[in-house]
Amino acid sequence: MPGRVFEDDPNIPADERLLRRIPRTWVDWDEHGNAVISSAAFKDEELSISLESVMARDGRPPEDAIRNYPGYGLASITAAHARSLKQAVAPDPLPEEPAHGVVYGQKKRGGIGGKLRDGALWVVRPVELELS
Amino acid sequence: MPALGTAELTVQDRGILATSASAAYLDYFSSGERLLVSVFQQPVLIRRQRKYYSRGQSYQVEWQDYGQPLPAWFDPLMQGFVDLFTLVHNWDSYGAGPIDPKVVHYAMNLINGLLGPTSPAPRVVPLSSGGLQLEWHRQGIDLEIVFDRDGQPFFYYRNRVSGEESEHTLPQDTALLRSIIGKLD
Repeated sequence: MPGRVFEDDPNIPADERLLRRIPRTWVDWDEHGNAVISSAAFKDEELSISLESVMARDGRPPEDAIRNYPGYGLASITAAHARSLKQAVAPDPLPEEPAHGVVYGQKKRGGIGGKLRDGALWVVRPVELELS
Repeated sequence: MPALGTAELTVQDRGILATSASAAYLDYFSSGERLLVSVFQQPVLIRRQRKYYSRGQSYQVEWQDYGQPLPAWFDPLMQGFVDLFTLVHNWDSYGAGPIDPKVVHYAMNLINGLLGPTSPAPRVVPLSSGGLQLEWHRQGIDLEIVFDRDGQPFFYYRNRVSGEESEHTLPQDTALLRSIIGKLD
C-alpha cells in the first residue's frame, strides 16, 4: 500500500534480522557459483520484510517465510544496517503474516538499494534453474 | 504441453543495429571484406528475426541490419528483455504487477545505441514498481541503468575499489554512460 508513512520503531533491536524473499529473477550466479542478489530486491520505498523475532515468538523458523514459495531464496539484513542508510524499520502485521514489517524510506536514488543488498546474508539460497 | 504463444517485438522501428550504432558494427566486423566491395556494391539493409523462449511462450524479435555477425551481448540481452514479458502477477511474492512494455521498449532502444561490438551484456532485472534495470558488475565497477515507470531514466555508477560513486540522468549524460560502458570490456 504505497503512500503510507512509517516511523522507526525503537522497540525493534539493532540485531533484529529482517527477512526478505528473493525470487530467482533477482539472483545472478557468478563464475564461482555464488548467488548474488540484485539491488532491485531492496528498492521498494515500502520494503516488505518478516521480523524474525515475531516468527520465533510464534514458533516459526525463518524458512517458514518461503514455505509457500518454492525456488525462492531468503535473505536477511539487520535493523541496524537498514537504519544506517536512513531507513525506518517498523512492524506492519498482516492477517496472513503476523511477522510482516516494513523497511521504509527512499531507496532508488543514491545507491541505497545496492547498499542494503551489500549487507544482506543468505538464510536460504535459491536453486539455479534454466528459464527457457 | 500447451501450444507456444508467439508475440513479436520490434526494436527501433525494426532498426536495431541499423541505427547510428550500426556503422560501428559494420566497421568492426567487415573492414577486411570491405576492401573487396566495389563502389557499386553498397551494403544493403536486410530484415532479420530471431525467436526467444521464456516460460512456455515464444517471442520473435525483428530488426534490420547489414547481415553482420551479431555481437555477443545480443542474445543474452534479448533473452533478458523477453523474460520480463513472461513474469506472472506477484512474481516477487510481494504483489508486483507486470513490467510496463513501454519501459522495456524504451530501454531496448536506448541500450542498442550504447553498446559496442565487444561490450559485455548487462543483466536485465525487473523492478517491483513495473520498471527495469540493466546491471553490470565487473572490473571493480557497479553500473546500473534504471528505467522506472515514473520519472526520468538514470544511471548509478560505483567504483568498488576507490569508493567513488555518482548518479546521472538520461539522456543528458549519455556520453558519460557510453564511456563507462567502454571501460567494462
